Amino acid sequence: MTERMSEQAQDTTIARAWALLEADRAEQALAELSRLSPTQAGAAVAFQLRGRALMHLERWKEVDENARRGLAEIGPDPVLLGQLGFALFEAREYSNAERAFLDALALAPHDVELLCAYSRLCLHADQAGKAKQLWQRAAALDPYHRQIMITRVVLAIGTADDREAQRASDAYLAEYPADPIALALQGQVAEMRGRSGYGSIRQAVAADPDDRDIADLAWEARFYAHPLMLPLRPLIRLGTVKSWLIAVAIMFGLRFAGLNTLGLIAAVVWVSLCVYSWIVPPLLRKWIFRRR
Amino acid sequence: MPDDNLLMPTITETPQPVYRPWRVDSLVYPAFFGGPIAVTYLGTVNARRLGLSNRKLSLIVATGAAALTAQVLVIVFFLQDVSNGAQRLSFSAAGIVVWGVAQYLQRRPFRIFLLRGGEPASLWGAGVSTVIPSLLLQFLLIYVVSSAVNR
Repeated sequence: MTERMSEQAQDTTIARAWALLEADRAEQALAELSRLSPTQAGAAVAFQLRGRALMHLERWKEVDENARRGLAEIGPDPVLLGQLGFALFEAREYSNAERAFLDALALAPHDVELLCAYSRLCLHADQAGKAKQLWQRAAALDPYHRQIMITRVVLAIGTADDREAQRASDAYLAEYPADPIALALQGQVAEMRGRSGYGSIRQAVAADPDDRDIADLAWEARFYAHPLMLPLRPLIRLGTVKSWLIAVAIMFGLRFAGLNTLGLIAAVVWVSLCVYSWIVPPLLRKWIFRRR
Repeated sequence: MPDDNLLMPTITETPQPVYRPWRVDSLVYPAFFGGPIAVTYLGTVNARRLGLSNRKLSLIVATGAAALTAQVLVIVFFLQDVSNGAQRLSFSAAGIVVWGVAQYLQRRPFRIFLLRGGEPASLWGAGVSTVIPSLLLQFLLIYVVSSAVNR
């Protein structure tokens, strides 16, 4: 999708807007694009670049409007259809988003970004099997593409396969060590597995301070890294099932071994930890997020 | 084009649930304190909120019924003369088994719910108001079965 756009970016203003977008300066790219003459502004590449800038700024309603206007003026275009798909995906209009992605894929069936986007959409629509098949098809085309790496992590998170999520985020970070999303995902997966991901997420925020999703993740990581969460860290690391099985086994074991006092102490400690885990995290979360 | 079926539309618009689901991991607390009745009820409600199929819902209910039956029989035949603590722990163990099944069935849909940006509901009110009647019901059930057996 991006290569097609670069081929068409011949005009100077368009080329400048393109360069600004490559430098993550989406607002300035939009300002540059607003200087285009009405004829140039109606060109496919202008609509595509405007859409990309709006996507970068997460102005999804405008992405939707721009794509629809572009499609009405220039006819079917895989880039604009893809952008429309993203906008509808964000608006949680999943079946409409699917229609847009499929129309785009009918024109560009080997587009890795489109296949990955459709794969993530299927995951959100609770169709994990199809999502994985789409990802496999895209991965066969370009296994080290950034979107392939991201989608692999997202699929693992969505299917609750935390070990695969760890492997996938490690592979992504190894391939793209300075990528803020790779750092953010590495941190997020670490948090999910009961480890501190605050360091990675802080690096991600430093690498891309404008990304709102990464900033949100940083607040979440600050919550998990707080000293008041330390007593719960072993439980998060073990996972709820294992923690409870171990606790119940210890309490039962001590009782059946006739060690009633120890059994009682174990039960009191466990119940105290449970009560702590009900009361402290919600209050801490409120306190931390209020300062945002 | 390879495997054209993959590029066929399969997504249908599903209505958003009226009530937000609870954290699946949090259901372990009513399971521990309220036993199988509490967690079966809450697990089924949560499964409905997460849009699970009727088959999966039935599996949770069936596990709950089996765990409750097993627990009542164990108490009546093996633990009637032992301390209340041991009976209490058997409630929790039965509850945890049901929760294990509910957790296994619900963790993926719950992850999807979180991926979509959903915010889970608080279990406090529902949890407490389910645990107390569940415990009373379980005690009543054990009393009735014990009386019938000892008659």
